[in-house]
Amino acid sequence: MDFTFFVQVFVNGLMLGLTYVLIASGFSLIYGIMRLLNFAHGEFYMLGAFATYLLCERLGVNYFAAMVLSMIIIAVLGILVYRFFYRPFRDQHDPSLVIALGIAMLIGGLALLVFGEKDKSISPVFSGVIKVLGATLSMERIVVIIMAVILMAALTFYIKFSKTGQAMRAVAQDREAAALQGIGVDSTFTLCMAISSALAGAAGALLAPLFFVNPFLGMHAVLKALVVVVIGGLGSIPGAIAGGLLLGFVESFGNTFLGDITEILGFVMVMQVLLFRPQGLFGHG
Amino acid sequence: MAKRRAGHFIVLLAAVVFPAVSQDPYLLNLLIMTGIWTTSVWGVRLIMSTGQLTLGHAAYMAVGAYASTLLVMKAGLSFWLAFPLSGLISAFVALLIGYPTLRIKGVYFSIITFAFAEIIRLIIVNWPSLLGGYGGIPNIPAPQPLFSIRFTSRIPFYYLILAVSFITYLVMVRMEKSRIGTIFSSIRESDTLAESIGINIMKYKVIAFGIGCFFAGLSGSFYAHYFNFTSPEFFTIWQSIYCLIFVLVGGAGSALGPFLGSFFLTLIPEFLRVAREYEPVVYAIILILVMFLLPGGLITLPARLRGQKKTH
Repeated sequence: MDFTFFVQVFVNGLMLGLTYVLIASGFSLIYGIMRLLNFAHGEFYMLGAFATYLLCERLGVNYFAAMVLSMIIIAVLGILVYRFFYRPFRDQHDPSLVIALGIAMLIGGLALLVFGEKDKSISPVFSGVIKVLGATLSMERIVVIIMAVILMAALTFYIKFSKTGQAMRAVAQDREAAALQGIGVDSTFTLCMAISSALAGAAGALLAPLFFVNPFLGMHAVLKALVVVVIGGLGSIPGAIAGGLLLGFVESFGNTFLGDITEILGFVMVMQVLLFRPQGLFGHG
Repeated sequence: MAKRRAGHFIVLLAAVVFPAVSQDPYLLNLLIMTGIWTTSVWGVRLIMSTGQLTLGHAAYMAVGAYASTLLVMKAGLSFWLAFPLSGLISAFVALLIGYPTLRIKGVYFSIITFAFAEIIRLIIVNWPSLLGGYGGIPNIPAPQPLFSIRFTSRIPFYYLILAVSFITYLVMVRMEKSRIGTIFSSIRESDTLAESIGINIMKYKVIAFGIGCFFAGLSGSFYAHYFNFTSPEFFTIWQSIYCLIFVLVGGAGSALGPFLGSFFLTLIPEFLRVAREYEPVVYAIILILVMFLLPGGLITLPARLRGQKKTH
């Protein structure tokens, strides 16, 4: 295969992988800290894309302003969903999972009724292409790559160094011990929902100009997020990054060489991980 | 106890004599759909009785539907042979998935069943030459006549699914009361404790999953031959989630719960006259309301109304 072509496929894989990273990291954050599989996460992503679409196309807001607004809107929505629906089932494992599924269905179903099933698209924000090592790359994709890297770096630094980020990790490790140290578990969870939802909103805003926007995005996104977090390790942010990138590259190269059957590769990887390293690439025993 | 028996007897009797009262094809169809769902959903409850939440049950219905279709249309088998075989094939697929997945404690099982359901759909969609792709497989023959009963109207189908779901029910109740049922609930209560007294928890989780999917396979096979058509659209992730909702809305604590949930949730969209697109929203609202107001499901409603707190 010639080198230029390789670069092209590689960059496509990188972009696709970062997409998965953006979606999966928020999902993994929630699981790591709250022990909740937030099935509504994909729907938050879908709503983020719709919010950006409405703000840009209908209200004529600047794209970056629309992105920030979408993040805020989705973060608020995340907090509300936590307060009213997740908190009452906080320490119940299966009921909390079921309520998350119910919320996902509700949001997905309502979105279908309100927005209709037709694909919407946002007019391109960045035009032009640049040449890297002979391969042609659109500016749009480059922007997504840069933004995703910035967001992930910010998230990692936040969790590692900030006071509230450390509180999150403490709650993740031992909820009761953290509470004894004076960390408000409930406020930590609320913050965690807000950050995770804002990330989903950002992912929606970033990807809206590249793909079509429709109400079915949510289910698709949550499926990918599940595959990524199992490969990377449930609840681990580095795991979500590694898993997302790996899936992106596998799918990009798979699509080029194997065609449609690639969709199944992610699942094959999941089964391999479960057989040989059940805690995931970056999970702890 | 005797009162409960009598209640079951009345439900069964009502179901048996129903076609004598009304032969309205629309109503019969709804009841047949209830039977199809109930049979499958009892499997979900069985899997739940070992503490596992399956999110991909419709995939095993799909396996049953397609296995049965291929056995009848390509291999020329009789429906009466293909029907039990499709259950066994579903159970076999479940064992393949269950073995690596159920080894690991925690939410992995739910995640994998969810993802695998999508894989089954993708395989169907991407294999049009054998499985018909998006378009599905039309002209699936109805079952061959059985003792001169010909499957040309809805009534024989009605009695067939009634028999199948009644037998399923008996199997479920029998299992629950036997040793294996006790083992299942001991695993659900505390798998670590069950393991410590020498129970091979993985073996029993896999058994429950296999049997649960066996009934999903039967239900899928019936579905295909009843509608003479099968398509990946019937077995989406939504259908899998519906299976779970039917159990929880009916009440997982009682063997009648799945029936009640399937019955209520099959009929309610019809009586509300809601369009198909509203269905997920209606189901989601009902699910959320039940989770908040009636955590034991509809089956606990009478006790709740009498003001007793029922615990299981």
